[in-house]
Amino acid sequence: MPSYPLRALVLRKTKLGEADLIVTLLAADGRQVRAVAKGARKTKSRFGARVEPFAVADLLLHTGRSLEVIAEAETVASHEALRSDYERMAAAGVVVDLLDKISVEGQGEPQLFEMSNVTLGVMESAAIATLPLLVAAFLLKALAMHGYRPSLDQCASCADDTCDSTLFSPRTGGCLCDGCSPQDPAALRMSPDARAVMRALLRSRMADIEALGVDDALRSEVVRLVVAYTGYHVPARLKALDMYAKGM
Amino acid sequence: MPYYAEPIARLLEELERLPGIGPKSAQRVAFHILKGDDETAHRLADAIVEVKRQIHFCKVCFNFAADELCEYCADHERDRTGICVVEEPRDVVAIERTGEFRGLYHVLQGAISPIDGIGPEQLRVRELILRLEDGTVTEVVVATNPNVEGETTALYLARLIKPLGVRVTRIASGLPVGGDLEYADEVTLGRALEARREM
Repeated sequence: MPSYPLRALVLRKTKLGEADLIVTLLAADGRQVRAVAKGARKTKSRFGARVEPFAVADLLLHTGRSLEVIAEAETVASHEALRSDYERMAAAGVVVDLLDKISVEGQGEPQLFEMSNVTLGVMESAAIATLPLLVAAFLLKALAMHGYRPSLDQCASCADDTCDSTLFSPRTGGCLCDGCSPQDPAALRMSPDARAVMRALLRSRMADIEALGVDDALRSEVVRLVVAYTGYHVPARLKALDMYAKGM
Repeated sequence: MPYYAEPIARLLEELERLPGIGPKSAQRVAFHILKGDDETAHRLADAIVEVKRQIHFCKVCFNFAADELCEYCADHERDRTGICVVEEPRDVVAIERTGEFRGLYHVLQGAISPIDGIGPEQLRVRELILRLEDGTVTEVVVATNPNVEGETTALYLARLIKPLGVRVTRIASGLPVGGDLEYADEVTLGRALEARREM
């Protein structure tokens, strides 16, 4: 049984049999890997918190018939502080849920792993009030990496660069100019400030988002727009995001 | 042409629906039943029918119960000032085996798992809060599993219960008795050190 080392972020786990787990991982090269952690649910398991969601671990994987088998695990970053607050857990839950849905087996996206790891690290220490903006920033950046960057400077339909309308169309992929606004009756209202914040979220490093100083009302508006945009473009229901948006 | 007579095929099909039972295990169980006497087969069938007919959820704590109340809720000798909150009925058995807890239980019937879309409203959280209203309970021991879902649930409960003036405690995490320190992961060992006690 050939084996190979892999650094990976644990996204989710599913119970398998009496005491095993199937662990869904985001490998350092951005592809999704599913592996069995034998006996991981036993209290004396050698895996313990190493295969818990949000943990980054160096693993030794054996190639199995259908799934890989985890032979060894060493913690790189446990992101333990995420477990100290309900809000941090909920925000981090959105991150791993999105990664679980958009990462694909055998298809790499190296930047995705690095950004996810940094996002979880920032979420550990950020102020609770900043967490929704970090979630929004992560969603926008991850979608942008997959080719779904919202058009915020030009009309998403006709590419008119004098687009200054207050309409945001998840379906069309960004803001709509006045001439194109009839194309999407379901387009959402977007204030100029919300558009500026969304631009800033796409441009800023995760660690700098706290310094943007966005007030509560604007933050809620941005999150509402980003949630709608994500919901339209991700081809699976993001249950963690639904719960997060409902709890805000 | 089918390999088995219809009744055997039906039994195999039903057995394979059970958790942890694959085609081979189902075959083994089915042939064991076939080889055994009639009385053994009837006893097994009766036990399955009886358990489904008689067992339901305790109307107070949502543990399994044969009567309206489970044996713990019905026992007046138990300490009514403490409630231990667990995820599943089998966790009640695990805690009872320790002999360290003499209070009552509350079974949430799951844990909060945002990624699976399981929120507090799908659990027996509202019923737990109602149990705290009359002021008898002074401590809630949260004994959900020490994994992400269990921790999320514990944090949520603490946030909900503390404002009611009830003490909320969490079972400790640490090293299993009989285990080797070198195999402990960093989080477990870190928590064990954090919760160290004077000797």
